[in-house]
Amino acid sequence: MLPHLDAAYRLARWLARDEADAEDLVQEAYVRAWRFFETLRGEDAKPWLMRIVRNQWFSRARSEAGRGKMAPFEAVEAEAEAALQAEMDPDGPERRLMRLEDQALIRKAMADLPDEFREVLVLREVEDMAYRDLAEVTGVPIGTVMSRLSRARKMLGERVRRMSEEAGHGAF
Amino acid sequence: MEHSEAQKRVEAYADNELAPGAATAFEAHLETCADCREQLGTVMANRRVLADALDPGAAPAALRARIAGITSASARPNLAHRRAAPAWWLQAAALAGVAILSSGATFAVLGRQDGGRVQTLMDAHVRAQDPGKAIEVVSSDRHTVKPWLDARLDFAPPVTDFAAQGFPLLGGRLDYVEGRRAAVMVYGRRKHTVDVFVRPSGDGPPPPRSADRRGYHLIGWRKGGFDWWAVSDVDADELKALRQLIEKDGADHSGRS
Repeated sequence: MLPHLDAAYRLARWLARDEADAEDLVQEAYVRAWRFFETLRGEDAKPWLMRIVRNQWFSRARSEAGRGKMAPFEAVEAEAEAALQAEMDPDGPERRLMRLEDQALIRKAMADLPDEFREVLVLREVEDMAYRDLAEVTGVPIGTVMSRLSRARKMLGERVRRMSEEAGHGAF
Repeated sequence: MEHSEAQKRVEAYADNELAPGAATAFEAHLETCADCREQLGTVMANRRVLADALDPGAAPAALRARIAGITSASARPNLAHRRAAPAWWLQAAALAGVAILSSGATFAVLGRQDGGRVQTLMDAHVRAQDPGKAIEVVSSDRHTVKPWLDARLDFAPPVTDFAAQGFPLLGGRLDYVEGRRAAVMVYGRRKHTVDVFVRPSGDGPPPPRSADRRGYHLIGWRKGGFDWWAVSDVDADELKALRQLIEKDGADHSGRS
C-alpha cells in the first residue's frame, strides 16, 4: 500500500539519527508524496521518493541552522576532505572491516560522519542503489557521487579502526 | 589497463558500475595484480559488513499505520478545501499584488492585468503542490473526473486522459481565476504535475500566451469557447505539446458531433 516505505525509513533513520525524528521525517515526506501513490509502484519511483525524504531533512536542517548559515555542500565536502587528509591518505587503500567487529562501533562511527556521507553510504550499502540513482537522490553529478562514496567508505573504515583501538580491542 | 587506472576503478567494479568493456579490461588486470585483488576483496567484504551493520530494519508497524491513515483520509474529495477556496484566492491575489510591485519588467511585456492573472495562476499551481490540496477528485478515469467537475460548475469542461501520449490524467479540482470558478485538470508528466485551468471565455481579454516565473511556465490560449491555461515546472515545450493534444482532442470531438 505504501511503496518504498522501508527504504524511506532506513534513509530517514540515518539522516535524523533519532527514532522519533526519523518517523516524523518519513511521515512528512509521504504526506507530501501521497497524491502520486498510484504512479509510485515501480523501481524508478524509489529515487524520487528518497529525494523527497532527503530534501525534507536538508531543508529542515537548514531552517534550524538559520537562513543562510548552513554551509553549502562544497564547504561540507571540503571540510570532510580536510578531516580525511588529517586522518589518513585519501588515496590509500580501504581498511578492511571485520565481520565480527562490534556492529555498534560501526554504527557509532557512521553516526559521526557528515550528513552527505551517511546519505550515500546508506543508499549504496543498505539500499543497493546504483550511482545513477544516487545522483538523482542527492542532486549531484555521478562523478561527485563516486568521489563522495569513496571518501565516505574510507573515513568510516578509518574511524572504526581508531575507535576500536581506543576501546582497547587492539589493532587488527 | 595501467595499475594506477585500475586502482581508481576498484570501487566502481565492486559496485557493478563499470561498463562491460571497462570491466573486462579491469578483470584482465586483476589476473596479474595481487594488490588490486587484495583491494577489491577488502571493498567487497566491507560492503557485506556494512549492509548488515547499517541496516536499521523495516519501518515500524505503527509508523506504517499512521501514514496509511493520513494518506487514505486525504485521498477522499476534500470538502473542507472547497469551502476554504475563496480565502485562498484572496491570499493569492494579495501575493499577486506584491509581485506586481516587485517584477515590473515582466509586467511591461504582459500588461498589468495579464501580469496579475499570471501570478494568480502560478500561485494556484504552486499552492496546489502542498499536500492534500492538489487534487480533490483523484482518478485517472475521465468518466469519474468529468461528472465530479460538472456537478460543481455551471459549465461542462472537456476532460480527456492523455496517458497514451505521456500526460496521464491524475484527477481534478476546483480553483478560482479572477474570482470566477475554473475547472482544473491535473495531469502527470513523468514526476511532475501540470495544472490545466479551463473556464468559459468571458468578455475579458484572452489568456496571456506564455509567461515564465521562478522556474514555472504558463501558456494560455482561447479555443472552443473556453479560456485555457497550463501551468507547470516542466519545460514550456512540453506544455505546448499538451496544448496541441487538447486542441486536437477538441477538434476531433466537434468534428464527430
